[in-house]
Amino acid sequence: MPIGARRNKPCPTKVLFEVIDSNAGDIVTKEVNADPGVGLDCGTMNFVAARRIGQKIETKRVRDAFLDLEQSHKRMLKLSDTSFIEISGKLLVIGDDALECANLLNREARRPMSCGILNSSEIFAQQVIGLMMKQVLGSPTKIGEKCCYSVPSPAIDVSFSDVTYHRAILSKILQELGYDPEPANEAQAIIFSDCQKENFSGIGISYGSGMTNVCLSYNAMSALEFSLAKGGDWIDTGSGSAVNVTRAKMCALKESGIDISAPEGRDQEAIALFVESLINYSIRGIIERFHSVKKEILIPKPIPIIISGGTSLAGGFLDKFKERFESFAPDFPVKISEIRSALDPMTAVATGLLMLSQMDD
Amino acid sequence: MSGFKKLTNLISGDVVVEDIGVRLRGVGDSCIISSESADSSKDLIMNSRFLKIKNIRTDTKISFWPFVNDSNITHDVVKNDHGIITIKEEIQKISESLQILLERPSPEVVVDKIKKPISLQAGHSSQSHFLESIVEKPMFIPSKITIDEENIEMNMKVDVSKEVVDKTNFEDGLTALRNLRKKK
Repeated sequence: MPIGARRNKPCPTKVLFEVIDSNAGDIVTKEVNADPGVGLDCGTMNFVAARRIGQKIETKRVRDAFLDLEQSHKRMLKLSDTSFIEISGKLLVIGDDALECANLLNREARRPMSCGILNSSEIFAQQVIGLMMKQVLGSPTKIGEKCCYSVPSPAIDVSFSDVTYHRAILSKILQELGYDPEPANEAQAIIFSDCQKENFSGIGISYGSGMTNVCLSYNAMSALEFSLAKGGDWIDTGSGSAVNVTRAKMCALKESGIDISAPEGRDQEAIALFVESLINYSIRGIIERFHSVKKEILIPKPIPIIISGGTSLAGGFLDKFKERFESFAPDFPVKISEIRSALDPMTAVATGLLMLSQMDD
Repeated sequence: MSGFKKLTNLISGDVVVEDIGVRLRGVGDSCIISSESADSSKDLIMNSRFLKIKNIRTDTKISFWPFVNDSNITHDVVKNDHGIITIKEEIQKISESLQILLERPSPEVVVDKIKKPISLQAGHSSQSHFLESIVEKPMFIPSKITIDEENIEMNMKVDVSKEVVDKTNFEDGLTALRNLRKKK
C-alpha cells in the first residue's frame, strides 16, 4: 500500500482508484487513468455513479432500498452472504438483496427516499443513503474531487414541495465522503448527455421512480424546470392495489421485461394501464406548466424530446408516449423535431452530471 | 351455610366486572357470585352504581358464577382486541425510534445558505453560476451522518452493477459544452 494511503481515505499525493475487497477485508488499490470528477444520480430507486476512465465511462448502480430484520436472522444472513449492517440494534439488509428478501417475506422494502427526495419518515434514511453513496462512488481520486449530484425540481402538483433540506443533506454526506458536492438539475443532465447534436437543446423527461422531472433547455440554457410527483412507485402502488399484490412484487414484475403494448395476464394489464395513465398525466402536466408560466417560449427551431429514467425501460414505453403525444400535439407549446429515448435511460442522468463535473477541468 | 351475593344489572347497557369475569347484559340480567369474590373485586366497587347487590344466604349447594374454584388469576381476564395490540406495537416502535434518535450526535451545523443547482444561464461567467442560495429559515443538519464502519458489524457485499460503456463521443460533447459556455 502506498505511503499515505489509508483505508477509505484518498491518497493526497497520487491519483488512485481505490477498490475494496470486502470479502477478504483487505484493501486492494490499483492505479488507473481516472479523470477527476464524478456524476451521481440520486434516484428514488437507484443510485448511479458515472466516472470517466480514459475513453470509457464506468457506471455503478445500487438499489436504493433496505429491509429491517430481527436479530435472529443474523446467522442466516451471514450464511447466505447477504449484505447487511447492524446499527442501533437493528439488522438492515441493503440494496437488491433487500427487495429479494421483501418479496420472500411478503413485505415491503423500506426506502430511504420517497417521491424523489429524502424520506423524512425513515429514521435510518440518511445513514443508509450515506452507505449506498460510498458503495457506488468509492473514495475520491483526489481530496475534494468534484461530484455533481442530481436534485429534482420542486413538484408542481403537490403543496409544500421543497427540496432544500434534501439538497443540504446529500451535500453534507458527500462532503463527509471527501467530495466537493455540486447540485445539478436531473432532467437537464439528460440534455447534456444526449443532445450534443442539437447543441444541447431539447426537452428532457426523466421518468424516475419517485417523480417525473422535466427540463426545457436551449443551447445548454435551462428555460424551464419542474417535476411531477408521480413515477414508477405510483405505478407499482396503484397497480398493486388494483390486483391485490404488494408493491415490491409489481415492481419486480415490471422490471422483468413486460411489454405494455401486449400485456399478458391481469397483473401486466394493470401495470400497462397505469403506465399509460402516467404518460398522459406527464404530457398534460408539461402543457399546463408551459402555459402557466405566462411567458412566450420562443424556440426558433424544433427540438427533440428525450425520454429517460428507469420507468421508461418498460417495453413499448416510447411507442406509447409517441402515440399519446399525437393526441396532445396541437396544444403543445413547442415544436418538436422528434421523440426518442436516451441512449441509456438508466445512466443518462449520471453521464450528464459527469460531463458537468468535468467542465471546469 | 355459604355467603353469596346476587348482582342485578340496573341499566340497559352491558356491565362488565373485569376482575371477576362477569358480564351482565341489559336490565334485569343477574348472576350469583361468592361473597369472597365480591369482596375482593375492585371493579365491582367501581360499577356498583349500575348494579343492585343483594346478599344471599342459603344452606343448599348451588352453582354460582364463576362456576369454578377460586383461582389465583393475576393477569387481565379480558383479552385486548386487535386495535389495542396494534397501538401498543406502534408505541413500542416509536419509543425505539426515539431512543435511536437520542443516541445520535446532536445537530451542530446550522445552514443558512446553500449552493444553488448548477444551471447554465446566458450571460454568466464560468464562476458566477455558483450562486449562493439563501434559505428562508435556518436548517439544522446532523453534525455527522455517515456511519463509522469500524464501529458496526456489517457485510457490505452490495450488488453494485458495474458497466463500462465506450463513449468516444463523450469528449466531443464535453468540448462542445465548454465552447458553448465560453461564447456566453
